[in-house]
Amino acid sequence: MASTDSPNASLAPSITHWCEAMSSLRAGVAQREFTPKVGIASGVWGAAKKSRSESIHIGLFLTAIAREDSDARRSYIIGIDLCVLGCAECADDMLNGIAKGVGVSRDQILFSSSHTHAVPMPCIHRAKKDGSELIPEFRESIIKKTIDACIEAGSKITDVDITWGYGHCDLAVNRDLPCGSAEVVAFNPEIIADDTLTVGRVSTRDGKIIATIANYACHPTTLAWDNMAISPDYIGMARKLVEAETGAPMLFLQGASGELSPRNQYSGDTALADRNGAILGHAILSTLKAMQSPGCGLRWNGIVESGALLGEWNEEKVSGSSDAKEYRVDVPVRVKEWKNIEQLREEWAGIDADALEERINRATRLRIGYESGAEVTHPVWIWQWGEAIFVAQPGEAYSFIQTELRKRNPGRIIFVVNLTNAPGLFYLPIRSAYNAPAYQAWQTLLAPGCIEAVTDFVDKELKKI
Amino acid sequence: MSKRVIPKTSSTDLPPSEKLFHYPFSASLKAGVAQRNIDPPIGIRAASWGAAASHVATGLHRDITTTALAILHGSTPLYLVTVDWGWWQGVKDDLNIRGKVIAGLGIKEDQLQLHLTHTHAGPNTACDVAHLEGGELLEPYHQFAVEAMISACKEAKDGAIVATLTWAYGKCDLAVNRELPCGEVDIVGFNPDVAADDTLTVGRVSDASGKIIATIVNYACHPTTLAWQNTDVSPDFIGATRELVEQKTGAPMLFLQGASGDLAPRDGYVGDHEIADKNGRILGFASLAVLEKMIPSGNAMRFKRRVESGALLGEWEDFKFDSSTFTNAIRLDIDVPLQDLPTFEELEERWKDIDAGARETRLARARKLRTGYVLENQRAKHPVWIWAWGDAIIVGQPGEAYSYFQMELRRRHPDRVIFVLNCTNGPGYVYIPTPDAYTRFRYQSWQTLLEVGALELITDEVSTAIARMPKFKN
Repeated sequence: MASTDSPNASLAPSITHWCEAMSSLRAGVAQREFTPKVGIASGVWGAAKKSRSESIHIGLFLTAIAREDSDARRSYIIGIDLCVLGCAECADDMLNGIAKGVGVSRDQILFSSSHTHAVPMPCIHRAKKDGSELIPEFRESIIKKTIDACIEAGSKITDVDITWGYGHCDLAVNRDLPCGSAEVVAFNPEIIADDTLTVGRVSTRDGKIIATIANYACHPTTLAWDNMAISPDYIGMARKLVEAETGAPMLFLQGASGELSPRNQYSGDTALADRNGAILGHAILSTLKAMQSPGCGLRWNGIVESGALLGEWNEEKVSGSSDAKEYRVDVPVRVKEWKNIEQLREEWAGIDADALEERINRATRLRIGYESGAEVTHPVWIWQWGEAIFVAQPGEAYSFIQTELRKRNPGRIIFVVNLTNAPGLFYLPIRSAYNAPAYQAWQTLLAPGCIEAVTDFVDKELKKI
Repeated sequence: MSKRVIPKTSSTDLPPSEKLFHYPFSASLKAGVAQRNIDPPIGIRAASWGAAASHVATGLHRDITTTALAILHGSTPLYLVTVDWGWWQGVKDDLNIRGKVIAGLGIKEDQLQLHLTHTHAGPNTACDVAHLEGGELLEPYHQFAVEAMISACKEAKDGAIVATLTWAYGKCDLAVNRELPCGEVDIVGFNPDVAADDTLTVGRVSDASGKIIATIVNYACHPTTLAWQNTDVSPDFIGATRELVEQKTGAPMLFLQGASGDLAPRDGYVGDHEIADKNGRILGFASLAVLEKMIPSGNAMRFKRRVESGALLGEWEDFKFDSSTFTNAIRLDIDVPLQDLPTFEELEERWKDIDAGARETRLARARKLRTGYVLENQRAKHPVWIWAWGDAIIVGQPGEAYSYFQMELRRRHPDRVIFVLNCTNGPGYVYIPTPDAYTRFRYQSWQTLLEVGALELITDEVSTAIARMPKFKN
């Protein structure tokens, strides 16, 4: 109700239209539960005394969003309640199987693990443990259900509006704790963690929410060696809360959480995972509620003469960007000079035998395809979906990559996603982590400077978009 | 939420577990809470908007409530009372309510911080408009509300138990800047180019078993979702916030309006209750996220041990600790400069050409605003109440301070949790704007009586007083 007869009626701001970052695309969504049988070997903890799962905390889900170009080419983002894909060989096999089943190339899929540590590892090359016999069936189930979900998501493709926004969440803390001459992986109260939460809301043209996307960086390590329940960790409760409120599947994408975890963690108590999930779930809901109505921005409506001189904005239908571009870059990085496996055995000789074997097995499988000191490339997928950009890579990057990319590109909504596709399933720590030294620095195969190189490379790519 | 961490030893060994601690901001005090519905009758005067066609309530969107928190300062009770009302026009209106609550409780003035949440869809607080439509219902309603406040305070005090109060900051994106440049002037409207303070301050009050008995939410955002198109009484966004938080916690929530002179929801000036509820849920979910992250009541954390796993891990554990029992309550009367105020004769001359009724209304409002506040020589004493509850500081004052006030206090005192309350007690029911508000001819600068610099002066005085408050050492 603008006051058209007011002497101030001609007042207007310099910008009379405003909207959040929005995309207008063609997309569809589908979700599958793939919870394995109780009894399967579950968890990834060297300190665990048992391997056979005993219960299910919350079921495991995978969520697929399919996007279609104007030329009918399709691409897929899949978020799945897995820790990692296993060794390079198993990851390759799984990704090839999915791509073949969906009928697309590997680079048309972002297959992204949520990184929960309370699930079976879909790797058949791990040391045999109680419950390992169920792993092959689990792997097949993941491949089949991912293909099913992608095909269903593709069949549901429709015109959608996606509203993007940043929010905040205080679940994550820094987990690089200096202890004498080394660092342990534990809550460090002295360093502030990146609290950025990135959210997308996918709606049909009639305003119905069909999916949400949440990208947040925090290791799902609430549940640890004392836990024998299969669980998505905190993501389970976050998803429950968001899906109950929106009535639509939520796709979770793990951010660059190399050094980030919940403050309260390493527990056997699933209620703690739920509390951590409620922190994230409520933060996501707050961010979603702060968005304008689906497909809407604001238009200046004029002056209103009241007790004060007021300015009225009204919602208006707007279209977001339909620009889309999806490609992969291979960033040159250097492999560090590493100790051989026998040297590692000697170095770790004093620790618990199970923990030692876990470390040796991981180190051995991780090195397949890499040579000490070699020049290699690290793959990064850069997908522009309208006004949002997904930067996904297989490693466990430190939050430096997301804070830097967002700082250097303030006008953009950037999803930064760890643990996506393969190869390159190792940490990307910052230089200081190598000096500490932190666990992440001796787990990784890459030399100091890798994350800085990847960040600079990707930043240059983003500037081109 | 980190407060203090004792540095680790310089030893090259892993630190002994007892050397590393993480304490929440907290307090251990005798506290009680009580809440009352004070819904007004339909037809009551509810005139918050000059642009409204109607000034009486035709319905009720959500309950109007008052919530009282009693804290024992030694043997003296301190009452923090919040009411879903808008603002006072003058000291007479204020004392018509607050004075009666003080008298009814038999307490001194400074034992009460009576806070208005600043909804712009509440019943009128004025006591001199009985002659206007719906005004005849105000006096009995105000008396009913006063009795409810007194009764809530008494129940809160009588039910006070040893409680643990945990404090934490969070963030919420409900508020936006509302000073929109339009040519040479700024108007009151969403300005996308200026970031708003997003600080959310939350308190959780728990009994010895850890059961939550109250929560406190302090956030700065004008409750101006519902505007001239709305004729229903409403707490505005606070209603849905409270519903969400109270459903989850099972305990009353006190909402305390922050220093929101320049802040409002992006979606506002509407008649649609759904928008008010949507705004409330932005804040409600954000408040719940902060509550969920708090350490269990009465606990702190300490480093427990290292664990050899796939990596070398470090385990923390919760442990019981004694929170600060410190309380303090002071009042400042800050000498502030006033603008060169026109005389009432000059105002009469200025408004001589407008409608006679409107002129009289404006003159009456100008008189009310000055009475009891304006002193000679263009000065006033601006009252501020500063209470310390353990690690938390509660700063209440009657004006509508800009967010600079809360941001500065929090920036200068990072080792405390500071609640900053506008619209609390009186007199001094005026905007406290930043200097640029004056140069941009903003509404707030012509509503206020204060001269440029008052905000900075008040901030400095309050900051100095906070710095003098003792700190609890764990």
